[in-house]
Parts: sequence; structure tokens; C-alpha cells
Amino acid sequence: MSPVRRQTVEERVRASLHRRAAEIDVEPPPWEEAVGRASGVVVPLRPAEVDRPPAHLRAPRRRGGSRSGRDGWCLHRLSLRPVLATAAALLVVVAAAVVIDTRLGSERTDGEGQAPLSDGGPRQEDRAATLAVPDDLPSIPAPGGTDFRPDQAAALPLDTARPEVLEATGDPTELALLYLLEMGLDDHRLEEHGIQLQVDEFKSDEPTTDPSNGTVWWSTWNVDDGERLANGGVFLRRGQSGTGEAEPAWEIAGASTFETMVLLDVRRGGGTLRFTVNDLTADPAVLVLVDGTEVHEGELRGGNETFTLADPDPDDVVTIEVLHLVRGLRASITAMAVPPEDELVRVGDGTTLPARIPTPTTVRP
Amino acid sequence: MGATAGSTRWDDRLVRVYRDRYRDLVRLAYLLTRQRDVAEEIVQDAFIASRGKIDDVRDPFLYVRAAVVNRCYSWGRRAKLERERLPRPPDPADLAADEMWDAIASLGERQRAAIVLRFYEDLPDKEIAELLGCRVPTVRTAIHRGLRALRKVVTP
Repeated sequence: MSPVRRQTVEERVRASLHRRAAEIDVEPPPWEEAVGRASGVVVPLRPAEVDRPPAHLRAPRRRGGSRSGRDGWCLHRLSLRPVLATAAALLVVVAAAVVIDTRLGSERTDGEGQAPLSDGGPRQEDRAATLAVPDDLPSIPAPGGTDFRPDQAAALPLDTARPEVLEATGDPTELALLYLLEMGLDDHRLEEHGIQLQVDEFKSDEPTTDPSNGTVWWSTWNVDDGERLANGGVFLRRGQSGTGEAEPAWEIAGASTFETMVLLDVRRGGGTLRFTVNDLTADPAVLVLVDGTEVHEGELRGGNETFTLADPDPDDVVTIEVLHLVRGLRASITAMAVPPEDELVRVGDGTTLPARIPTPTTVRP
Repeated sequence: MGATAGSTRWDDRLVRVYRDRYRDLVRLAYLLTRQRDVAEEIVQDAFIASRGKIDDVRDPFLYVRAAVVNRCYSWGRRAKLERERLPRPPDPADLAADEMWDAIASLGERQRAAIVLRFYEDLPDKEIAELLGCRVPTVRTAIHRGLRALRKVVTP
């Protein structure tokens, strides 16, 4: 008996579309009749009844060709004024909050940038403690840095117990997409707020048909004017297969936002985690997460802030994630996993590399 | 401006497309809008709007097809807004549709349009991008994510 081959999703999509299309069997009305009818009756919506169309309806994409829907464009123009007014009001509120925060003295950081973790985070009891990183603790290469190598970095933890995550580990592009999505760079939500997320296909770092390292480049754009908000890469590598039979799954070694958001001087040891975030845009909304727990949200003072924290879990990989918030949405990400201190080895130039590629035991997201 | 001999000749080209490809375009519009009546309206409207505008167009069919896709895309986004404002029970005809058809309908506008243009019209990424007014990687992403979403919801 010959085996029955199961149809792929692509084949089923094609079959379904052609089957449905074949149900439509219409003859055109006489040309003279068609051209004699009034045009513009297709779209039944009446703009006057629409209170406040969402951004994705108000912002026709102009790049790459002409577009129809001029009335949608007009709606967009008309609604700019309240949007600007709201933005201005928000700006005033944020500025006032910053001023108050500065005058009262922030609990968030001291002169060293020491940051207690928020409620629910690790080591709440260390909130008041003075933390110090040993003087000789070398830095760990961060994504985006010249010394960062995906094959030597710790992997960002993924919940491979979830079928969609496990499935994605077989395809670096899909894994990167899933990661960005899980980290809150939701393309649907972004698009509704006038931001377009673009993710390219996986690009290998090596001239081989069977690469073990590579990058998925991404960028975020303003739909209205095509202005680029941020761009960066998700760095991937093949993991180490334990069975020797299965093809090693892809892992995420880090993510970086180029030019604008830099993670540097990452040090871990002596029960302390320390790192510096450099925001070159001086963006008023930066979210910093350690192991998924918020340690900072808002402007970085001077665009450059050092965080010194009690190590949330000295025996396990710790993740650092830095996100830009644009219109309240996560629009860019820089992220890395920091291996435990006992899995680091020091190299001659003062940087620290994992002694082996750590297998994360923390399950996230 | 009155009709010239030239424009009449070009309109003849349009009329030929109308007679020969009307059904194909209605089918495409139907796949994008899921409504037969709307599909016909859109196609007729696209033909009307194309009159007098195809003098320097090499292939009137491609021009009209782009107009149809744009109108369907625009209509779909507006229909979504209307649905959000006025929630309605599902159309019984839709409930009777096949699983894959329903799954395709559940995709976002861009993903659905990209899927239809790829798997029904067999268009390359570049042409899909031009039709949808986005960039090629965006099309790839939309198709990639659309197929992934379909794999999740349809029975293997």
C-alpha cells in the first residue's frame, strides 16, 4: 500500500482559494451599463459617522506605489490636531513627573545608579542594600558590541515546552519573529498605532549552506512618513544537540537595537549584576527588565544610566532586556542573557566569556 | 475634455479586459472581501475609475487588477472598523464555509491579501509588495506569519 502524502498548509490554502474562486461564475454586465452607473458606491461607510478611526485606517501607505482611498487620507489629516494636542498634554505630564521625581529624590537610583527591583521581583530584601561589583570583574560582551559573538554568548531562555516555540526552533526566521512578538513587538498592535515592524529573512554569518550562526534584521517605521524609528538584529545560533541524532535547534543569543540603544559594561559577580544602558536618542521612554522584572521605565538620566542590582539568581542565566517605548508600545529591543558567574571564564583582554554555552533553566516567556 | 480617437482606442483595450477578465477579477475580489456583491461592485468601480487613465499603461489588466486589490484592501480595513463599531452575528453562509476558508478569513488584512495574491494569483513578492504598498520583506513576513497562523488553527 502506498503511503498517502499529507497536504501541506500551502497546498491546502491554494486548493481552498481556487475552490472558492471557482464558485464565482459571473458574466459582466454590458459595458455601457457599467460605465453609466455612478461610481464611488463601493465603500458604504460614511466618514462622518466615524468618531475616531484608528491609526492604521488613517494612514495609507504611500511607499511603493499609488494608493486609493483619498478620503481615508483626509480623515488622517483632520485627526492630526487632536492627536498633537493629546501628545502635547502627555508631554507636559511626563515633564512634570520628571521634575517632581528629581526634586523629591528618586528611590529608583542613587548616585551609582543602584536600582532596587520592583514588586514581585527578585531580592526585594536587598532594596536598601548597598551593592558593589568587585573591582576586577571584567565585562561580558553584549549584543551589538564588536566583541559579541553569538556562538559564545549564553542563550536567551525560551519555553520549548510550548509547541509553537518548539516548532519555531527549527527555523531561525520564525524563532526571531516569535521572540520579537513575545517580547511585545506585536506587529498588529504597532500597526494600529501607525508603526510598522519589518522583519527580514535570516541571514547567515557564514558562507555555507548549513550555517550555525546568523542574524534576523528587523526595523520599525512610522507608517505616516516612513521615518525609521529603530533597527537592529536578533542574533541566532544552533544549539548543542544532546542526543547526537536530532538536528540542533536554533537558539537566540541576543538582540540589539543599533545606533540608538547600547547595552555595555555588563558585569556579574559577587552577588551583583551591573550594566549600563546608553540611549543615544535620549528617548523619554525606556523600559529595562531583568529576568522579566521591570527595574526602570522612563528617561535615562543624561541618556546614560548604570544599574547595579542584587543578582536575582546567581546560579542561573539572567536576562537583561532594554526596550524603547513609542506611543506606549514596545518598538525596539536590546537583550542578552548573562551566564552565572561560575560559568564564565576570563580572557586576556579583560572581557568575560561563558566557559560553556549555558543551558537556561529559567523558562520564559 | 472630449474623447479623442486615441482615448477611444485605449478604452477599447479596457473594454476588452472588461469582457475577458471581469470574472477573474471578481473572483480575486471575492477572495479578498469574502462578499460576492461587494466584489462585483469593486471590480466595476475599478473599471470605471480606470477609464481615461490607461493611455500610457502597457497592460490595462495589471492596472485594473491593482485598482481592484487596492479597493479591496481599503474596503477590508474600513469594514473591519465597521465591524468593531457595530458587532454583528456571523453570517450563516460564513459558518458553512470550509475550515481553511474560515481560517484565512481570520487573518489580518495584510496577511490575507498577501496569502491570496501569493497562492491564488501566484504573484512574486515584489508584485505583491507593489500592490499592497509595502516592502518586500513585509510581504514575506506577512505570508510567513499568515501560514504559521493557519497551521495553528486548521486540522492537520
